[in-house]
Amino acid sequence: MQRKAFKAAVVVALASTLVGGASVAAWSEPSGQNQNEQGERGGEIRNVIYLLGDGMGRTHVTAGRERFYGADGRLNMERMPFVGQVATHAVEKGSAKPALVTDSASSATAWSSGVKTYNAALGVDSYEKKVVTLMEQAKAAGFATGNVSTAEITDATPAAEFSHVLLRGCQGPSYSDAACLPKNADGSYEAKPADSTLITPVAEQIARNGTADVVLGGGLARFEPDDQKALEAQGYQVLGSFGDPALPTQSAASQKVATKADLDAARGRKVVGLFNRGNLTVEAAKSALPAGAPEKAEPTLSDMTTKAIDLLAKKNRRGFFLQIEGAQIDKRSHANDAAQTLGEIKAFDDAVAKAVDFAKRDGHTLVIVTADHECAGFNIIEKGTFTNAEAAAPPANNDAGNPANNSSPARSAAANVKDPSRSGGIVNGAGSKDPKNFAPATFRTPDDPAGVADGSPDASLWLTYLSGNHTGADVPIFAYGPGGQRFAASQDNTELYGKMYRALFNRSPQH
Amino acid sequence: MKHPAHPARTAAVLAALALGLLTGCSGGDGDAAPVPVAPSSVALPAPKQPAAPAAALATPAAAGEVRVEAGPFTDRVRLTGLTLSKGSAVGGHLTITSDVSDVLALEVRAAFYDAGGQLVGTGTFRYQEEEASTGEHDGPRAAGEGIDFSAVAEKLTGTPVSAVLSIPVLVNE
Ligand SMILES: [Zn+2]
Repeated sequence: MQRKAFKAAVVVALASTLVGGASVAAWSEPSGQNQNEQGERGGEIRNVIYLLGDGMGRTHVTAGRERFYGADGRLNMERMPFVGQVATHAVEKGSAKPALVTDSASSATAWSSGVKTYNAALGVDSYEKKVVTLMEQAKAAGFATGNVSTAEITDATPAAEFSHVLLRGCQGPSYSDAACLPKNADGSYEAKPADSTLITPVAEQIARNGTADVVLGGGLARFEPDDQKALEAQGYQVLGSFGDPALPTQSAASQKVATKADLDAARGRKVVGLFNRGNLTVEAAKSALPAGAPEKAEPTLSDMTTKAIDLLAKKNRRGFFLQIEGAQIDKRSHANDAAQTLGEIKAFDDAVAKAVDFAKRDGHTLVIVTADHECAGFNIIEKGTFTNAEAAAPPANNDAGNPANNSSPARSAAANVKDPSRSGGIVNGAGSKDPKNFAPATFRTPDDPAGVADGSPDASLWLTYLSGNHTGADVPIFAYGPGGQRFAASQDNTELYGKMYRALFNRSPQH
Repeated sequence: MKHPAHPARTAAVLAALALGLLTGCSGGDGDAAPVPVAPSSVALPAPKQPAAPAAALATPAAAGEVRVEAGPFTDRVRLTGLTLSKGSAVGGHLTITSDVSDVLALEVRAAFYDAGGQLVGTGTFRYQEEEASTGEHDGPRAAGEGIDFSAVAEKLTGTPVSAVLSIPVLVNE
């Protein structure tokens, strides 16, 4: 071990000599074999930046590319050299039986702790046993750590790295049975666990466990003045105000959200900035607000990414681990709001560019971009066509016994037409007032002639949703940097934990 | 599950770890602390409970009056048609205005006060849209059209003539 470490040190020194400075990018293409080998020895990878688009399936990525860069363009994440896919299923509570469609809590626990768990569980396995998280391990081993989201910072995805609760609803500010205790099959609540951490609101945990040095997102309403006090006692710079300790309960009037200006001015090694009392404002909605609207003072995900990297990379010898979530891709997909979904994909992808730019300059940073699950069965249909939801009759599966597949069509031509009662025109155009409308939303792309408008039949990108729920589709994963090739595989979401662990600690997980 | 649990490999890793600690080598980072295998165990205070309702109203209320106390989530909902019915329940219509995703938990608490402004009881309305077991929800939703609610007094120690509503719990998926 010592000899290998010595060799790695020599190679690093040589590389520094050749490029004339360690700050110059040492890594650019997947063919950089020496760099990759060093990465696996641990001297090479100092920082891991893990970005995820919540609910961002493969089609979300494709639709974002076509909308913003055209059919021949690429999103920033698609420019990363290593590409793979991730299976995302959860398990039934109290068992290892697969539950094929995951929620954000189970999925985030999978990559944060390497275990399959039940939907709604955070930082506990399927049997309610608390499991260590990668961010806790990184922090304890001397890495700087950061957790960034456009959701409430107590929401499932960020929470899985720095809290442990039986139910994701247990966010705060206060405990309640319904939010914090799972139910038995008969509808009664489970007995309270012996370890009260597991029913302690996430906000209360985050404010006291010191797991993340930099915490940026929404969810100020989950926190109270005693949380601010606890954070400040640990040396955190708290932006804005968690409220007035003299009041029994906090409200919009007593709390003060942090602003982008506060973030820009932040200089601490440990910083907490909560920029909205709930989730951060969706970018498309924010840009439509008049100048001076308070939401306009919120930072973008790119702003938070740049600042988090800046704070974590400064005066830090060991390296850092940073998780960044674009949360509203999922939330707007649940709402089947294609325009805002697309806007959030772009905002997320812009943040990816900030992370990759840093990694290129730094040369010792692994950047991973993926998702926790797909949301809403997002689809790109051919311009001018329609989905089964709009059709007069569904196709009948009456040809199953025919090996030559040459019998009469499964759906008569008469039935394969739009049913006007469920196809009231393009939903972001002529059919926008029809509440029973299943028609697609349409968007122009850079390939469309000038003058083609969103919501018109002439726009080329036609988007539909299957439902308002998550689906079980695998999600894409992209990687850049030393060790990135390990992610160019078909893998389970629990494997991401082990791969990131090896990247940070240069050895296999122990538990 | 997916853990590398092969005994020989685990032993090798442990041996390498021990060697690393003995020789001060840890992959090129001289000051690397060991990686813990147990979760964070910071001592936490007991889970916070919602603030108790005031024992007495600060300002007198008119008979039948239903007030809404500003709290962590009152700016995320619209409350309409609030009435104190039969002296022992507060009803109305609640619409969530901030999020459209499933409501994981919502609690509306009513504190009931007598003619002298003294607290005489409380009642709580609880609601959720996604059962953890089934993921299903029937009926109207709190976002969009909104829901009717009723918070019924549980143990009254007097005759309520007014009530104060608060929303201590609201979580969206
Ligand atoms: Zn979701």
